[in-house]
Amino acid sequence: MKRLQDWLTLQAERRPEACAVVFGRQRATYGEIEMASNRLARALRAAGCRRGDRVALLLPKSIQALIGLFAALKADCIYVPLDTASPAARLRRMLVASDSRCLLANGSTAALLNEMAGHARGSAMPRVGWMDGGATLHHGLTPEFYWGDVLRLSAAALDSANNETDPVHILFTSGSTGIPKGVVITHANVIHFVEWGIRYFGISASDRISGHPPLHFDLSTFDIYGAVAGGAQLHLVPPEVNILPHQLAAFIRDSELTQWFSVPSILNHMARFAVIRTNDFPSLRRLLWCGEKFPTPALIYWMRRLPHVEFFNLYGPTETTIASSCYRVPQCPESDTVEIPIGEPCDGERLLVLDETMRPVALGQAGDLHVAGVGLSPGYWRDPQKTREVFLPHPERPDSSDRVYRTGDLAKIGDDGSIYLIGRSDSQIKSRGYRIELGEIETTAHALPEVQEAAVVAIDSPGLEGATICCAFVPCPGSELSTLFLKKQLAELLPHYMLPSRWMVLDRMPRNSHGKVDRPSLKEQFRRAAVHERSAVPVQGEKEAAHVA
Amino acid sequence: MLPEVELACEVQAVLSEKLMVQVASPDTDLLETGVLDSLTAVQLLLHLEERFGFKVAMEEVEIEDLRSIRALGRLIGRQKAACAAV
Repeated sequence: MKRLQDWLTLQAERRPEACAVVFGRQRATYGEIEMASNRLARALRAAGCRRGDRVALLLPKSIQALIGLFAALKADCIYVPLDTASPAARLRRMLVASDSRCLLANGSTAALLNEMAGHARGSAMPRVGWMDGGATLHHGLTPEFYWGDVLRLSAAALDSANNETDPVHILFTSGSTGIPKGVVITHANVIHFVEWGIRYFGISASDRISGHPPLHFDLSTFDIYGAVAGGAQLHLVPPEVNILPHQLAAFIRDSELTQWFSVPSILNHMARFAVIRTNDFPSLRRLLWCGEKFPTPALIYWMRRLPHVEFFNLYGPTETTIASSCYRVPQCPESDTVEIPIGEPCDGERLLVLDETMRPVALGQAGDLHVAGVGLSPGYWRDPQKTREVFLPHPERPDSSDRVYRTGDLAKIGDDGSIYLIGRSDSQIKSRGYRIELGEIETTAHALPEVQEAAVVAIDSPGLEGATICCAFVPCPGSELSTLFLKKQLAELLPHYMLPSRWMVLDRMPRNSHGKVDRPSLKEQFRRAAVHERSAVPVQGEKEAAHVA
Repeated sequence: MLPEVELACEVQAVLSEKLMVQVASPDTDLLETGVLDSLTAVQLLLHLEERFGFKVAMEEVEIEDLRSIRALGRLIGRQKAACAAV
């Protein structure tokens, strides 16, 4: 297979009536998605989209958004999924950075689009394709086409010129300097992983696959293209189901899912609220997670209740496409302290644990984890400097064009030869599967006029978050800046998952002997405050203990 | 039992004191505006348990109970009454 859209076309030819996607009460067949995306691709071309142009998707996860992404690929374009839960100011920056020719939106994102256009301050907005009926848009925005116009176009296949080296999408992730980075992923990157996944997991047309993460999250790439390549059904998880753990369990049960793929914080959340019954989810064959460490006690909770299910730990940053390694947990761990390795490299991938001089570390020694192979992104969108910083010449073949990606994860090779993650070499954290650069939060807080200085640190959290984001700040002299007001201001600039949950107002920032912010001391102060709060609230403390037990 | 309005005020107080969120009105959609997600919803329920001194029966919580401050007020009223009856 050369391009991702060819998988859809193939399924639509073979089994046009087979169900491709289920979302709440809506369903769409492979034939319907194929025809609708052909029509929309024609509309995109008529709106001026050419090979390599970017098409921004300002659409929540839905069947319509899937049609949008396939249409972008068929029109030879690169799609840019935008997080519709992020503030307009941040999305606007991504839109400008991606330099999108066209943007697809609908009624559910009209208010967000109006706000983004308001932030444009004279810079041009892309052409808008409206995915439903009438649109009430401001700031001089007028849709180039409406869904009604799309339906009048031919549904016949159209010739696409793109090939495996063309980018599929640009996924924006948190950037340490305050500006999100756009990771470029090619058709070949995704195809290599999906073809491996189909073989390794044995995905077939009888599978019913979960679509849990939002589209700007790279795990969703495997859900979508894995399902389409295998001719399986994709069951998109409605966002409101996600909020209550017992409803999420009911969704897996009622949808008769065979594959569930999500971030560990969700699995942990379901374990803490004890919503899984013994031998629950009889249709489930495999459970996959990626994005952060899955606490062993929660894994034991799941494995004991679901003996018929296979459990897989996947590892890989966005820059190396979905995942680079996989570990099948052979049996339920014997104790809470058993460490779960990140497993064997997927086909065509390699993991290297290297020291500062780019030489392999000895067994048991900590080193920087690097990834090489077919999943490596070409780099960050229009940012050769950042690309050079982390996509490095291959240490074993410095004269070739081969590269390794420095993940920033610290790892060691255990006595069993497996690789274990042990932490980060920078200030990036994972919270609920989201990758967050604390520097981005700090830079954003620091830039507010009422803030003289801000420092953002993370402390370990016993709960769902994984890490608790903490912000200490010094207000400008004479300013009456309250924590509530600061959080409100940050909420207009950062997505909710990046907002600190602990705060401290200081007269001045603690500093070390080099004059730098004393982060260890700040962390300690936040840790002490958290412990004090927990011990002061016995009701909650007991409840947490009960959930963990 | 506290009247519904007072319960709603208490919910508002928990939101601003514990989660540092200000909500425009008791009918603001907390789910659509992103105030509550999988993490903050659970945090809020734990704080409400603490404030009102009862245990939330999670399996009886529906998504619509989290829709607004007013709905949360009704949820607390209902669950407190159920706790008292036991």
